[in-house]
Amino acid sequence: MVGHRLCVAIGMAGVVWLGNWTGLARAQTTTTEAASVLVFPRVVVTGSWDTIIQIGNNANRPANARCYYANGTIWAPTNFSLAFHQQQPTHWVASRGRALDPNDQECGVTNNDCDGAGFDPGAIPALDAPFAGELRCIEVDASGAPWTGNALSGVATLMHRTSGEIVKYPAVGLHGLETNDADTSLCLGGDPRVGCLHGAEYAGCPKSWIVSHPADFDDRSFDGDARSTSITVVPCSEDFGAAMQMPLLLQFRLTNEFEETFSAATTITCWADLHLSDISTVFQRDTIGSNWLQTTVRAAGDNSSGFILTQQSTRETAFLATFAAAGTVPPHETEPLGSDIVGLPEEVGQ
Amino acid sequence: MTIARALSSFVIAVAIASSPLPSAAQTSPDEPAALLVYPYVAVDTANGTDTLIQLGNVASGPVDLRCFYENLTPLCINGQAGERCGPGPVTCSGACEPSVSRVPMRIRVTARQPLAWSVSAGLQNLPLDGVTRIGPAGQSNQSSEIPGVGGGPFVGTLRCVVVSSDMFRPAPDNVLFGQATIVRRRGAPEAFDDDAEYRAIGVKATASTISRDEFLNLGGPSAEYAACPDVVEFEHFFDGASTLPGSITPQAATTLALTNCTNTILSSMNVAQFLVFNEFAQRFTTSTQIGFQLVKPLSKIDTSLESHSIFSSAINGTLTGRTNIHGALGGLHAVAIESHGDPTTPYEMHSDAAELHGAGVRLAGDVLTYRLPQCTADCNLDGKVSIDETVLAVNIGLGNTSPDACPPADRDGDAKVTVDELVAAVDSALNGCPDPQSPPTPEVTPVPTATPTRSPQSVGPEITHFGIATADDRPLAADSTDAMGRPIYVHLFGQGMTLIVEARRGQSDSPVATSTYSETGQLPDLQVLVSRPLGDGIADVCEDDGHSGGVPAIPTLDFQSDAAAAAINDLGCRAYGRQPTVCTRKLGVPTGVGSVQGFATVDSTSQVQFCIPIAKAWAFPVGDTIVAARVRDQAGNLGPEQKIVVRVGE
Repeated sequence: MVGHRLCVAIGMAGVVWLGNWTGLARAQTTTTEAASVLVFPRVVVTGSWDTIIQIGNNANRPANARCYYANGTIWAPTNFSLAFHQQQPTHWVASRGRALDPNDQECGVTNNDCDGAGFDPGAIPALDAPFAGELRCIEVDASGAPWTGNALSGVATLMHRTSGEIVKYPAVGLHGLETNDADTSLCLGGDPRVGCLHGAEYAGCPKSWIVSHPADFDDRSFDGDARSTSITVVPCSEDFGAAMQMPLLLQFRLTNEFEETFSAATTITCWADLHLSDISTVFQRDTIGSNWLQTTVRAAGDNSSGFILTQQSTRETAFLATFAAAGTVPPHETEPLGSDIVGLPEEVGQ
Repeated sequence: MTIARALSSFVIAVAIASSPLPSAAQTSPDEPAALLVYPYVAVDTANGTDTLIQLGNVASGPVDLRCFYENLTPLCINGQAGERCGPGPVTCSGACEPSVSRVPMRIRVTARQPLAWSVSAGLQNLPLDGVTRIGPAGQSNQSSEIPGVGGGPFVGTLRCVVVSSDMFRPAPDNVLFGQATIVRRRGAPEAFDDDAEYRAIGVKATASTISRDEFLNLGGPSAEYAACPDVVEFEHFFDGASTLPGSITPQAATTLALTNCTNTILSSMNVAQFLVFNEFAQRFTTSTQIGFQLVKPLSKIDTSLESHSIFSSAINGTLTGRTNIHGALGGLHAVAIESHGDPTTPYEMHSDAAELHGAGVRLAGDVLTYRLPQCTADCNLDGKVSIDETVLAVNIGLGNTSPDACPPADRDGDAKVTVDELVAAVDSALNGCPDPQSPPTPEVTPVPTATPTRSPQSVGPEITHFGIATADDRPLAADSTDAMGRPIYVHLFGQGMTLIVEARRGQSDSPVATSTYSETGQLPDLQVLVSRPLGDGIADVCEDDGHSGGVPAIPTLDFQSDAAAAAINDLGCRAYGRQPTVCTRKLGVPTGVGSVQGFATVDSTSQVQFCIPIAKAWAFPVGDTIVAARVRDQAGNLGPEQKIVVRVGE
């Protein structure tokens, strides 16, 4: 299926309220523990950038996963399966994928052209440029149904083809809970509700992230630097088998070094890569009058989707055109959490 | 589904949550915390290297911090002039030995205020200095002192603790977060810029009050803060890996920075045990000693000859790997700085940094000495009381100066400086402050283990544990027993669990045999029967290589029945690896044969563990299913059978 990219935020209506259930549903996303769902919010394949994905199985047993690429602009989901031996790591370059090839040459003193060395975890498709979107991998059991084994961890490395600059960020993990009925609707956070009769099956996505960053500025014409920050936002609700959409209103509250607060807002309909200065000039140093900002990014509304956020900062120097970039996943506030559903195609779990 | 059914599910879910598993919080950079650790800061301005610290407060009010750099810069002993031990290339022809000193700081961060400074220069011009500028609610950074460490070379750590306004009592306010950026910049004519950014590791306060002493308990029986992970682990490129397929460069090189969770002013010692896996799932091991900090390229951890290292791509045979690191004597904080480029020009390699993952928690806990012992009138917290500080204390006592000017002069925190406190201040000035003490040794509550007993009837292997584990490999305790004494395990769904069978030698004294499946249809060594069909229960044995279809029941649980061998093989072929492996995560101290980092048998006397995952295609039916198991030894002797009840709830 190919078409315009549409996002989904289903399951918000008809919530069954069961009182103050604060039990298992309060877990949150993690970047430092193995999990059952991995989200790589920013995968880019262009003429300038490529992305290397690394995933490992931290369990002392085999693990399986079903993965989905979702392009941020064109709705053409691509899926594939991974099978890991116990404790096995694997990797692939997004533009090349990884073929099943038992004749891959091992790395050695005289051979460093060994990209496919190791047990191939499955046939991983190559992404055609341009691609900018997300990758999600869901741990499944040997029969293909969702399995909350909390065995997966990962990291992405964006590599600039000409300069060699790299940007690394950890995959965002969603911890699986014991309340998983192994059907094709993954319930992220929340109380029992329509489509999620047992409540949360996975950790809930945060609805509020805290980004520490420099104010954007461009002093290159004065022989100085230019600094800018961009964020990538992925709504947690997603349907890999169909296409629906629900806008997500993001509110930004900025505090500068002088404790002055400012605000901005924007609406996204799905995966979004946002340069902060494009959202509002308030992110610019000349407007806000400060070098450093603390920005809280929050999904507006009581019933809105949670989302995942990664930030990338870039520093460019005058005249010489060198640049440095770095990426990270900022911290999030403990509450509130979203109440989301990820829909998988029907072939999973059958 | 009715609300009543949903509530029933809720009750079952709570029952699962109440199982006796460790549930201590773990350190993480994902949420604001009361203690921040920056495991690696470096300054070498002569070579264009500095570290930019960002620190934020998410609270709607001000927060006070006590921070300290640990200066752990290695010194070149008996080397030539100008030789050095880092940061960057080591040129010392003598011995590199660590120096240890602390640079204390006090910081007040106002509501949601971002602060940032370079480690070399510090923050001399406070944004809200309280004189020319104050915050909207009258708050300021006035009492803050954030010194620079100079141009270096400097290598060390930074830790910040939220404290009460008297600057002595740690406060359990989880409001801090931070980032560090290792900045390298070189001007024309060979301009180069690089930023490597990581998040400070947050350690959440878990107690509502924290003792006033100088020791912070991270996990353990007297936990005040979250525990450090039992194992830190990360996915990484092996050193020398070519990351652009088909070309020699760029190559990858990773520098690992480890620092101990347990840390006193006097000493810090640990042994890091490394377990390295390549993409063939082959395992390599090494270990190394850590003083206060270890900062090393991966391929120099185990050997001085990088090409011979187990972290070398050429040795490991694959481009990437994953490494688990366990601190034998205490927990670890860790950051990895990964570089890509031409290794012959290391300065020009591009890099970024990331924190390591954690697995499990250290049950014994760690202890961080976060400040010198309380010393009255030591206003700048440097462990000494100067004449100026004594005079300041006197002025506070006379009411000429606010107590905020020197909180340590007001030892009991009553907003006054009394005669007793002035006497103590003078005594400290004349005789010095108390010596730092060693932290209390964490007490480990021994995990009760079964006493080995042998049944006079047993001949073959004795089953030492028979039960279920969660999908993520945490053993569950039985919920109850039935009238026949069989343990009952309650599970909300019929899938998403693992059957665990552990055994040890029986009276025959023959080793436990380990096959779970026989392609010829003979009985394997692990024999498990179910009283009701799993999944569709079809009789085909090991259909689709054990990845689909169900398992037939033997309602009588008679191992001698005609259909028993096929049913046993049909379930046994789904065991992990069809060979025994320790799949369960460690609950306490390392136990059992075959245990590896983070994993251990449930019973410490077990010699073999079998794990059979229960997937959706062979799920238990709703209601009670009796599961029977027995194990054979290498001499062919069968041990006594055991039974459990798996109750699937609805």
